[in-house]
Parts: sequence; structure tokens; C-alpha cells
Amino acid sequence: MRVVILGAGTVGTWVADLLCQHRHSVVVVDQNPEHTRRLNDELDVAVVTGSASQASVLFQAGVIGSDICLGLTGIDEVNIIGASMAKAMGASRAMARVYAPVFRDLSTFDYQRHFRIDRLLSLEHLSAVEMAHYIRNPGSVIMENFSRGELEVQDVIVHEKSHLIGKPLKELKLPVGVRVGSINRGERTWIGGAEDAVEAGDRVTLIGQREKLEDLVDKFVVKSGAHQRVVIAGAGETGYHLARILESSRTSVLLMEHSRDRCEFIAAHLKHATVVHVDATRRAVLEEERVGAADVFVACTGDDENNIMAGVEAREIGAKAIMAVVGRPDYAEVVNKLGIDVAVSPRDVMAKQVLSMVNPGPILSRMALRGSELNVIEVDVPAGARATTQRLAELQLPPKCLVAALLREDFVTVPGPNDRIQQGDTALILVENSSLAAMLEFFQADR
Amino acid sequence: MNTRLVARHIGTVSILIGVAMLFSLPWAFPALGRRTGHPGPYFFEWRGFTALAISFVICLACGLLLRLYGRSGGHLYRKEAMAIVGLSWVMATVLGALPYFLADTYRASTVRLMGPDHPPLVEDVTGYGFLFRQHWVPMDRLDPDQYDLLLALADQQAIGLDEQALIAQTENHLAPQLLRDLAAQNEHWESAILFPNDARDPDAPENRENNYRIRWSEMDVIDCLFESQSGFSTTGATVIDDLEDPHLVAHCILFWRNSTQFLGGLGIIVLFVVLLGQGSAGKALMRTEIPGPTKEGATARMQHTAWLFAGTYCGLNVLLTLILMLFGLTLFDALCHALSTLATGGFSTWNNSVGHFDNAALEYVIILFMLLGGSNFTLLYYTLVGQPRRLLGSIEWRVYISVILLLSTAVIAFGLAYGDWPGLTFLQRLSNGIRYGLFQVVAIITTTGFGTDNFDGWNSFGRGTLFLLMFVGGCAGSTSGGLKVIRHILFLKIMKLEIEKSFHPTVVRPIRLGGEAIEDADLRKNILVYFSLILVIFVFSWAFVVTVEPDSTWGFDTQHKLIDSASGVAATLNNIGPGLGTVGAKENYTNFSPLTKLLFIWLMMLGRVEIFVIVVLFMPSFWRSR
Repeated sequence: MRVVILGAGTVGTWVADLLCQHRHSVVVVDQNPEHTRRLNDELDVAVVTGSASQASVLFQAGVIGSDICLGLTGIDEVNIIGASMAKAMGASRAMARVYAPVFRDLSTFDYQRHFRIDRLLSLEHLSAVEMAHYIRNPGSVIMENFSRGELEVQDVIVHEKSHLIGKPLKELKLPVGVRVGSINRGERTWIGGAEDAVEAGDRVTLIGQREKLEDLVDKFVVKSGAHQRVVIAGAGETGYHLARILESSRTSVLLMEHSRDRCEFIAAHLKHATVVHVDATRRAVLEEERVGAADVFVACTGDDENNIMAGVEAREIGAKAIMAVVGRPDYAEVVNKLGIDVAVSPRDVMAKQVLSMVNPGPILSRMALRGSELNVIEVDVPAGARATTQRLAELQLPPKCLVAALLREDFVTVPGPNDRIQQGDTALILVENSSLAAMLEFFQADR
Repeated sequence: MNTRLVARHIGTVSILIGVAMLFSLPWAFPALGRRTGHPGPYFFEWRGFTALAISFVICLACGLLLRLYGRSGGHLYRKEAMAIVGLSWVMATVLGALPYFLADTYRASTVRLMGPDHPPLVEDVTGYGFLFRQHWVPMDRLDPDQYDLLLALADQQAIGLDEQALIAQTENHLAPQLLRDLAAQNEHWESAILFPNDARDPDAPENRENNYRIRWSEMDVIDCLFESQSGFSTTGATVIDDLEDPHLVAHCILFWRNSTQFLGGLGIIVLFVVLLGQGSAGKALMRTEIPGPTKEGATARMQHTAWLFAGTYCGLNVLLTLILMLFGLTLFDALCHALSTLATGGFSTWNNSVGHFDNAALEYVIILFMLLGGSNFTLLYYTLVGQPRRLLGSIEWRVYISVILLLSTAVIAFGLAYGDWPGLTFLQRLSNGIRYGLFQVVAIITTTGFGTDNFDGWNSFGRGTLFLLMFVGGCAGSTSGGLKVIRHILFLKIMKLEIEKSFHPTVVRPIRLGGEAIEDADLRKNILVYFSLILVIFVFSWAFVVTVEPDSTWGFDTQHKLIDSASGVAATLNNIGPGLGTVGAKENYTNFSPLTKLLFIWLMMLGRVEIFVIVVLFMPSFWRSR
């Protein structure tokens, strides 16, 4: 595949390297001649020196006809503009990395849709989601947004007091626009059918529109009185995102940050979290803020060594679980030995995302459900695809495959058996690995 | 300080005030100046008419001179804006006092009967000087005949009784002689009693020139300033005892009195900006003028914002006038009460205030409009254009309504327990309690100060609650005075944060209002400073009144001096009007000595402009150009 990467910073370089290893042809654009020269020397990639927001530069980089363009510079706006232009100039897919959460906030404006970018990706957010998953597991976590944020996939563990236990799914009166995807019980995971009933302890994947999903999740996960105390050292973007994800539930969050301005910014934007202005790398501070009583301590100060040291200190003081953001791959081996339970690497997170994007065919994105053979797949429906020829009930899709949702002209529906997929739709499909290839045939363009 | 620029602007303000006086002129004609169910006499009030006309000319001359001296050049900086706003209030007070002064308005009887067992008080005519005179002089105790006689006269207010009626009423054919004896006792009595065809009162109206009368004192300069300031600051405190006698207070003067409240509620500067715009200068002026801790405009252009405010305000005034006229009030009464209700002022045209009409439905309508007057006008505007959620969702408004509901329930419950309201059955007592209790709580919290019931007779809880409510006030961006609800909310939040800070000093937490963090870094300081200033001003003014005001103002019963003085200070500082005891629901400020009245004038002005704008006028460094 032909990939254009905008920005040759740490992440850009590393992604270029990753894609090279997967035998893709990569062109890297960067403004800084030193960066491009270094990259040219180190990796088997083509380089273009120039601004990623200039059409001529993008043209030179061969955006036209490329399969994917990744905006990975250090500036949000450049990434968005570059990716948007690349898409307009003919790249099949475009993705932009953003730092500021505002670009991913759909409540006021949908940047992704407006700029016609297939995905706005925040490494920090993804890392935070990953950590939140560890912290809140069991529980529900927003796993990923699909269809430009209109759809969400959430993973919940059914609580023993839930009223929905024991009833077949068809009797649950699920809200319109929400669907039970997969059910995981013990070793087995399958796609939920109308006759299936959930049991306590099942892990259920729910797919649907954002607002409606929230209500349903509440019914599966009875809010327990258990109160978790999470201490986050470092209120950078990762810490901020993590606090945001956590503060919506019964978790008390304490954020430690040494920059006064950042403290005030974070405090203004987080409603329930407590923000303290301290240096989290000092042991006395950790003791004073009672990190020993914390259920989870998360170190994400932006510096690997500080994170590891703070994590070790917190373990010493008595925090029950320790998590740290550790970027350098060579540290990955030792962190577990030091008593850090979970080390999250933004690069690994990024790798997963980029590789899922770099797929041939109509797949827009693909997410493997944890601990199962199932995937959630987002596909474009091209003209003349077989899927459009008949109603869903008559379509004879392969087994273990479910069309969970359709995005049509920016409107999300959960299709019933009498609905028909149309050209131009984006379909969200739950499918087991074994059926993936057969399923994709239905979405091949007519040649 | 760009004095010429300031002069030019306040010149304009002066002309505006003059023009406003013209609107009071028509009410001098008996066709318009007519009250609901009042027998009269009605006549063309030439004294009030000429007084207003002369006042208009003075305002015009004043304004033209100031504009002649001033010039339009130069940018309006913060200092100039403050000077213009501060001086315009001072000037409004002085100019607004002219009609009262020129129309020979009378305020109160010179004799105060303190019951048959106590010596009466008579206004001092000798005095120690203008400000420091002993205002009231206790006379010798009256014998029962003398007391009955004076009581009969006092009941007739300023009209008095002719010889036959006097004898008939007192059933004492020696009554005229008794009066002459009393007048011969000393110079105080001599001055206080007027006889038929008395040479000392050559202008006596026809219906009383042949009567024995108690003399009423005219408003002196300080009384006029007090009345004017009370109007412009929308306080509603008055020094006039009898509003219902057109020979004492002309209809057109009464109308001027209520239109000062209209102007004060709107804000003279808001009117200025509404009419003239003035671009960025208008913005600077409005920021200084609008009460409340936050000064965000609803629209980008300040003149537009001022228009919205003024439009909503005038619209509500018109609406209330029409509703009151449906209740059968004359145009004069309806308009006057509308003006003072929405301005949350509280001037009435009747001695018994709104209670005069004794109409429960009308009182509930007034309650509703007082509530509106105490709400944020920008949010009211949005409600009118179909976005009621902005008002209903506003934290300040919710707290405001909750406080009213909570405290009126408590006041009603306590009042019922103590039997404050008459009624044969519990249901009657309850409905009276709701009617009077709710009215009074709303009248005080919105700083209107109307009265329907003599709340001075209520139990201590009710009176104490009303006293504390004086410090609450309405919402920011309304016409009400007081501290404003939003400041109390912020104050509590700040206190909570400060307490948390004491044991957890590293914590960083912004003040949140309705979930939104408030970015203004100076807000904490400003709120705390304002609370402290109000407290300091209250405490020292109280001490001042207690020290300066002679005990004789209270007559024989001086044990309530402390609480009465405190309530008087609170009621003027927070622009309420009535307080407790000697300034209570059925009383007024007329008996205070001039020096204390001067303090009250000062307090009303401070309360209306939220302190700083007036205080800076007395800082020498404010005027220095550097």
C-alpha cells in the first residue's frame, strides 16, 4: 500500500518504520530538512521537505492515488488540514493525530465530518482509554467510536443484580438504535441472537447510538457502592483524558500536577476530580496526598523515568495497583519486575490503530474484541456490492456475522431483517475471524 | 481626569433628567391626577406645575452650561466613566429634589402624640443649628381634655376642624380656649398650632383656612434630597407622612416621586446609552453602572443590550399598568404603582401602600411583578422571545426563587403558630398568612418595600427573617438592590473552597456556577471585599445613627433604638425602604434628625451604585491628572 506520512517527529518516524517493516511503500513529509535527511538515511522511505499544509508539497508526496495519509506532525491544525487536503486530493483514507480534546468533542462541532477525515486519533486519549479499561474492568468502558462518533461500542460485565438477567434478548425491549453484539461467557464468545439470555458475569458488547447506549449500560451494570480512589500523577493530555473518562462514574480522582497554569486549566475543565498543585515525583508529596490509600495509582507525567520512579514509590507507600505510561520499548521488560502492574506504551496503542487502518479493501476500521475471535468492522458500501441487492433477511450473510448498525447520510440506524443496505452506507458489522473473508465478499465493489 | 469630557456627559444627563420632569406636568391637571376612590379636592395644581416647570428650566440651564464648558474630544477611560456615573447620581439626587422644594411640599405633623400617659413631642423651633438641632422636644404631660382635643385635631391630619366641629367632636365647648392656652404655654406649642385665618399661614387652602389645625412642617433641603435619593436609588423610604392630601403633596409631585424610581430602576446611564449609544464610551459607562458581579452583555453592541434592558423594563411597566387598571385603579394610581413595582422601589400614592386597595388578587399580581423586577432582565428578555430555559436554568434565579419559597413558608408557619394573622377558621388564617407573609417576604427580598400588613406586629422570627432578607436582594442585572443572590452563592462557594484550602493547601479548584468554571481570577477577592465593605459600612453607620440620633426621636420608648437604627441602616443601604419599629411598615423616616437623614441619603446612594463609584469621588487621587 502507498502511505503518506505527514510529520517526521518521534511518532511519525516510528510509524514510518513500522509500516516499512510491514512492506508498505511510505513517503514522509516534513518541514525540517534535518528530519527528512535523517529519515532518508535511516529508513527505506521516500521523503519530501516542505509544509504538510501546502497542496504542492502534498502533490509532490504523491497523495493522489495513495491509499492512506497519516497526519502526524506536532500541530493539530496542520494534521487536520493536511489530512483533509489529502483526502480531497484523492487519498483513499486520511487520518489525523490531534492532541486537543476539543477536536474530538462532537457536542458542538463535528470536525471529523467537516474535514472529511476518516479518523481523528488522539494517542493520549487511546492510552487513557486503555488504562481506564484496566482500572474499570469489570465495568463498562467506551471502547471506541465508530461512524464518526455517532456509534459507540461498549463492553460491559453483567452485574448480578441486573434486572435483565435470564430473559431472552427479544423480550428486553432494548431501545431503538442499540443492539447487543456479542456475549462472552467463560471461554465462549458468540453473537447474541434473539433467543439468548444474559447471565450474571457475562461480558456483553453493546453497539449503538451514544446517548441511548448510556441508559442501557446502566441497566446491565447496576451501580455498586464500591468507591474507587484513583490517583493520577501528571495532568498532561493522558492524565486529563483518563480523569475525564473516570470521573463520570463512582470513582474519586485526584490529579497531581506541578504546573500552576495547567492545574488551573484542568481544574476548570474537570467537574468532579480534585486537582492538586504538587510535584508528584516527591515521596513526601505522595504520602501527604495519601497515595497509600489509593486503589489505583497512575503515573503519566510525560517522562518515562519519572513515571517508573513514582510508580515504585507509590507501591512502597501502599497503593494497591500501579499503572504507568512507559514509552521506551527497552523499559517494557523491567517495569513488571519493579512492581508496576500495567505499563501502557503509546506506541503500541498507535501501532494497533495504524495497522488496523492499513487494510486493503473496503474496511475503514477494525477492532478485535478482547479475548475472542470477534471483530467489529466498519466498511464502506461501494456501488454494486452484493450486500445491496437484497433485504438483510434474504441476503444469506455467512454465519457468525451481524450487521449491527448502518450510517446513512449521517443518520444511524440499527437495521432489522427487512431493511436493505444501500450504496454509500457505512456498515458496522460484528463478525468472527473465520467468516471475515466470506463477509467481505458481500462488500466488494462490482468490477 | 478629562473634566471637560465628564462635564459634557453629565450635562447631557442633566438635560435628560429635566426632560423626564416634563412627563410629570400633565398630572397637575385634575383630569389626569385622579386617584382611585378618593373624594378630592381636585384642582389644577399650579404650585406643583410651576415647581416642575422651573425645575426643568434649571436642569436645562445646568445641562447647557456643562455642555458649553465641556467638549466631546478624548477617550473615555475607566476613571472618566466612573466619574460620570458617580456624578450623574449625585446630580440626579440634587436636581430631583428641586420639584419637592419648589412646590412647598409638606411632610409631617409638628406634633407627635405618644398616647395619653406620655408627654407629647413637638417639633423644636429654637434648635442648635441646621444639622444638630434637637428635633423633638418633650412637652409637659397633657391632661385628658387637652389630649382628646389634640387627638381630634391630629385625626384630621393637616385639615383640622372648624370651631363648631371641634366643639362637637370633643364635646367640650371650651375647646378653642384650651387650644389658645396651650399655644400660650411656650414657643413650641405656639408654632405648632394654627388658628382660623392665621396670619402665619396666608396661603391656606379654602377648605382649611377657617380651621383650628396642627401645623405641618415643610420639607427642608435635606428632606427633599432624601426623597429624591430614595426615588433614584429605588429605595422607597419616605419622609412624607400624608400622601393623600393634594394640598400637602400635589399629584404631579407624587408622579415625579414615582418616576424617579422608574429612572433609578432603569439606571440613568442606561437611559443615556439607550438614547445616545456612544459606542465604546457607552460600554465603559454601562459596565460601571450595571449592578452585580458579572457584567456580560447579552449582545455584542452595548446600545443594543441597553435597548433590550430598557425595552423589557418598559414593556413590563406597561403590562402591569394595564393589569392594575383592570382592577379598577385610575391611570394615575396604576401607572405610579407599576413604576415603583418594576423598579423595585416601593413608593406608593397611598399612606397604607398597596394595603390600601385591600384586594388579594391585586396583591398577588404585584407579588408576581415584584418577582420579575428582582429577576435578571436579560434572562426575562430571553423568556419573552421564547427561550424560558435560560431563565429557569439559571442557578441564581433558582436560588432566588427557592429562598423566597423556603423563607415565606417558614415565615407563614411561624406567623400562624403565633397567631399573627386574624381569621375565624384555620383556613382563613392560612390564606391571610399566605397573602400577607408571601407579599412581605417578596417585597423585602426584591428590595421593593411595599406593605400590605403591619409586619412590625409579627413575631420575632418573622421580623428577624425580614431583617436578614434585606441583605439578600434580587438577581444581578435586575432593578433590585441589596447584595444580590449571586454574591451570596459565590460567597458560600468561596467559603467552602477556603475551608478546604486550610487543610489541603495544594488543591486547585475553581469556583463553579452551574457546572461551569468561572475564569475571572479576581472574583474571589471582589466578592469578599464587597461583603466586608457592606459589613463595615453597616456596622459603622449603625454606630453613627445610635450616637447621633437623639433618644427623643423614639419618644418615651427608647428600648428599640438599637434594632430600629440597625433596620433603618439596612433598609437604606440595601434600598429596601421600610425597616422595623420607628421606620416600620406604618412609619417612615420623617422623625429622624437631618444629620441622620443625610447619612441615609449617603447609604442609599452607596447601595444603588454598589459603593465604589461614589466612594472614589471622595478620593483626591481619583481627580488628580497624572
